[in-house]
Amino acid sequence: MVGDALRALWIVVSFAAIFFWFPSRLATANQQRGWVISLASSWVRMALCATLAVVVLPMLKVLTAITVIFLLAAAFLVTWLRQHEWGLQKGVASLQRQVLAGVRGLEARFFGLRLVARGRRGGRGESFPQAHPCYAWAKSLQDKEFLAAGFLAVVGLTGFLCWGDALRELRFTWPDQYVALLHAREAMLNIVAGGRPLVFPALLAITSLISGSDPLQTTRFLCPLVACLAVLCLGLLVGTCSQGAAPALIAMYCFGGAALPPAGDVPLVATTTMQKLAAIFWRNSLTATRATTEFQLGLSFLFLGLVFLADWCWSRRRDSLVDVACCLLLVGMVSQLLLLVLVVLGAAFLLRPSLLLPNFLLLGCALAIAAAFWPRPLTDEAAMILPAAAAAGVGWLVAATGTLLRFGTGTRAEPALLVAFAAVAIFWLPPHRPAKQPLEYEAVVRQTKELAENFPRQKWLLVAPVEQLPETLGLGGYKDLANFVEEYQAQVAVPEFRFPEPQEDLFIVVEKMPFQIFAREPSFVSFPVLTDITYRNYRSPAGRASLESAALQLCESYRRHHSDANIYFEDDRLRIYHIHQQAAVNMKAGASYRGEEK
Amino acid sequence: MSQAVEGVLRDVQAVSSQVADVREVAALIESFGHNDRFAQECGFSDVFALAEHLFLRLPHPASEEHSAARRSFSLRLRTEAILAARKFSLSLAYSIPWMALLVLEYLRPKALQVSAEFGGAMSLALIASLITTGGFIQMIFRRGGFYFGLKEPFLARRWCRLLLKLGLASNVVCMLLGVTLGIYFGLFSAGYLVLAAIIYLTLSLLWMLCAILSVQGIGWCIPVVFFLSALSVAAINLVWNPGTTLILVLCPLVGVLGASLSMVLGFHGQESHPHKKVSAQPRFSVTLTSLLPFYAYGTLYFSFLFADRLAAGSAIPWTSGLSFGIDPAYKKGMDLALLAFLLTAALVEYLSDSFLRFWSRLAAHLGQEESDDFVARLQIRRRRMMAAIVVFFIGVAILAWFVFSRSYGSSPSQQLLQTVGLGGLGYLLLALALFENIILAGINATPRALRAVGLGLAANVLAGYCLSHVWGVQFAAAGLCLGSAVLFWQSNLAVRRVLQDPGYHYSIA
Repeated sequence: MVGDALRALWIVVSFAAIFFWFPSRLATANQQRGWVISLASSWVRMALCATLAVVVLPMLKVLTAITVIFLLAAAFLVTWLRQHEWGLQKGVASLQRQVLAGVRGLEARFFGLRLVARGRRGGRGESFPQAHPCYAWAKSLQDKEFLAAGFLAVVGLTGFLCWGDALRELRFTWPDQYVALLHAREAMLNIVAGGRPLVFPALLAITSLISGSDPLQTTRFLCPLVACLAVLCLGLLVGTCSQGAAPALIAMYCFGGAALPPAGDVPLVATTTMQKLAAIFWRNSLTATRATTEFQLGLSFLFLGLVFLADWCWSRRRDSLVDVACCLLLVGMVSQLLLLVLVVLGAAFLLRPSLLLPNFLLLGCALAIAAAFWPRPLTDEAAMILPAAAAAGVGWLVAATGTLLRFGTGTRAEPALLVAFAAVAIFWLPPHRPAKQPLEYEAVVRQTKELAENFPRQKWLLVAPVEQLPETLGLGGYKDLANFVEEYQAQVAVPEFRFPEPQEDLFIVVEKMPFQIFAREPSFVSFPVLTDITYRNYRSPAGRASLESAALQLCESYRRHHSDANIYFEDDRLRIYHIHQQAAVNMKAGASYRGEEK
Repeated sequence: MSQAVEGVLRDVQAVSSQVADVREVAALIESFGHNDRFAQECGFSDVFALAEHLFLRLPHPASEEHSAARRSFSLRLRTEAILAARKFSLSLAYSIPWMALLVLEYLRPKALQVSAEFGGAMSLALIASLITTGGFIQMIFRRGGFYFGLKEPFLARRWCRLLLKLGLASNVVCMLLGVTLGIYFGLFSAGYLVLAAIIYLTLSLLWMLCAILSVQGIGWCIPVVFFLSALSVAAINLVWNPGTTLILVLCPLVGVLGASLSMVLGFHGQESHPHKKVSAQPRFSVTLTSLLPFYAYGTLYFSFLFADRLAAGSAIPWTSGLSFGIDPAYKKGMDLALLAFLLTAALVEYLSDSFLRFWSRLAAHLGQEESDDFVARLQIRRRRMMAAIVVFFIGVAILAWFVFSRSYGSSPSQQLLQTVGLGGLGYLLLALALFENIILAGINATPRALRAVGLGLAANVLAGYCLSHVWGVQFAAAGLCLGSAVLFWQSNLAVRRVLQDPGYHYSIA
């Protein structure tokens, strides 16, 4: 747990350094822009650059850690030259001065001399300087302790809900994480696969390359981080639109804590219009609706795009317009529907800025209703917008209430609003952790990770369910368990039989107790899903049980007739067979790779 | 007043035994605190008139040159042969072990066979050791050579030891950094990382010790040390057979022992007949600052030499299971081209030295009115020497190709041919650029050479890295080719500018 926490910390620090700290160092300081907007601007621009780099560089087969570091260094160099007014001589002279000062310092230390006079330092009795950043922070927090505590509580709650599973388990909680991991690994191997998701795998690939972490770990820890970022971005949007902290905090709580109405009692298959309408809001509860990580990123960029648009409307800064353009591009890469939402909301905002939040709520509801009636042009994405829209709507309601109270009493009503909402939340809107949907046993992921660490790269092959493909790509070979069983089931009983795979070590993952994705067989499955091979072999409880049983028989049969097979790992639910192929070793010795060194 | 003039004449002679022209004498007179009034008191219109008078009375080296010209032709030939032998022996001290290793690799390909992962780690250690010590080697050459030239063996030893310690300290830091990066990015397994770190440190030490042996004037020890270490390791292998990996770790260690012993004996020999025992210590920071351009030049030059291999090694696909590995065909092709370059480098060293001596002679012989002739003769000599370098390189490359091509079988692959072609052209341009750079360094124009190498390295790295990844490993050699072209273009431009006013540059050098 401590090791995982440290690893998570390192990945988060690396991510923050690449996407927040580094671009903010490159950007020219703009005192008029608030630090939050500047930070958001850096994040959006860097995310766009990273996505474009991960799209373009694999086509040239140059996406490596070296290239990424080189590009970052080049960006730094350009900024450095810009700071020196594009004068190389000036820059070199400044560098020379620094080197000479370093040499003088070295000499002073080397010979015990103190040639360089040291600057006077302030004594203990000196008063706290008012220009110190901490002073500004302390000043800005004055009279806002209540809001600050609320902010910390909301962020802490969101973090707890998002990070709990990720810190506890190595396996992924959501199916979309496997797709993101696969795309990230493909990009890192310079394989051009194309298709979505695009942005989140790009961020994964860049963070993995710089942090030196396995993309599996990066995916594990960046997913909750992206969820937290989406919540913060919504808070920023609501705060910007309502000009108040309490609505922003309440919206963040509703979105981050999934504190929305629970599922109601509606029929399984809606037939009438009323049933369909009811099903939209109460069959799949908003608390259980979780957007994919890529979509959460898209939502973040949508919120930030609207924030930048508001900033541009109020200040007419060109930087904000550039940021809006970046957000449009990023949102378009994530989802066309989200792009449409951004364009519509942006246009509405330009016409009537004060109605942005209710417009968002209305648009979210309209899209969800439209998706229920016409699922073909619209997809599940429409439903994934709804929780964010609902949270924004709650924020707007709170802001409107606050405004009414202020007009009525003439005092600031934010603390009172927060207390009142806290009371409501305790009874009617408690936070929810969305039900997780793992696709494999924890032990399988841990054993795969151990194999990757203990065996030379590409010298081993894993035969396992399809989830293992993204986990092993680039580290070792992978073969689908269903294909493996179908191919060799009839041959393994022959003592002379050898697997033709070139790898030395084969590992076959067999579930003694098949992993059940659903508690019970779904009562309604569409025909295309039913005929899908992955569903038939791995998602359907009956299909998976049949396959695992056949795999177990195959391995036991091979073990009876061959001496090179043993059990690598076994627990109550899982068994991993290990076959060390001598034939593959001999083959390799015949075509040995010539070491080229002296 | 004539006594005052005689006094000034003596002062000028004491400060500079050989002055270039009247203006230099005038500058010296003014530096003594004399002005036009003093000149008028001595009976001259101004300082320049006094300077002209003194310049005519100063003994001119031309007369010495005339006497030298009278010496017999055979004596001059002998002197030239000795100088050539010295230059060739210094360069060949590194080329001979390289050639021996290449021959061994071709005759007994399995003699040095190790696992691919260890091969990659060793390649990186070898390249890194040469790059990180390149700057220190240059500093040792400069400072050590300077003090040995002044017959100051104590100061030479002090500075050589200081630079050796600095180099070793920086190499330890680089090693720790390298191991950390290796672990961080999971480049190699822990065992191979440790072995590579040991090899890196020992090789770094070995290169610096070899540089000290060279400045001591006992460069012939270097091939002897290499040969003896190879022999002792072969004996160990025969007796204990510890395996190729351990042998490859042991070999540089034994070499370091041999080189250290030779260095100590060399210093002992030099200090047994000291010119003077006590000398003023130069200021550390001033000396180090004056050496920094040479450090930068050495590091950049060695980075340039191996940038293509680093690019080629990094182009290996991740799916191969290796983090770094140079394609065998690429290595074979580039080794041949590098062999031709190493042999040509000896000629380049000699020719550039000869060119600088020729320049010096002309500057001493020819008067100011013959400057056009001066420039023309220098240009002709330079072009001839460059032509000689081209012819020699091509000859050696063709010879090496015919000697070693038997091992490629009947028809060498297209990849190998492309590598040899691009690599050969790249090293040929590099040899020409090296000639220009030595001239620049010889006239104290190291910053110009530094700029040329920096630009060439940038072109080499960028082009080599991109092309090797996009089109194939063999195109890393195209990066070398492009980088060498840029380097040659820049250094050639710098030398041509210098040769527009050779007298001035000669005098400030």
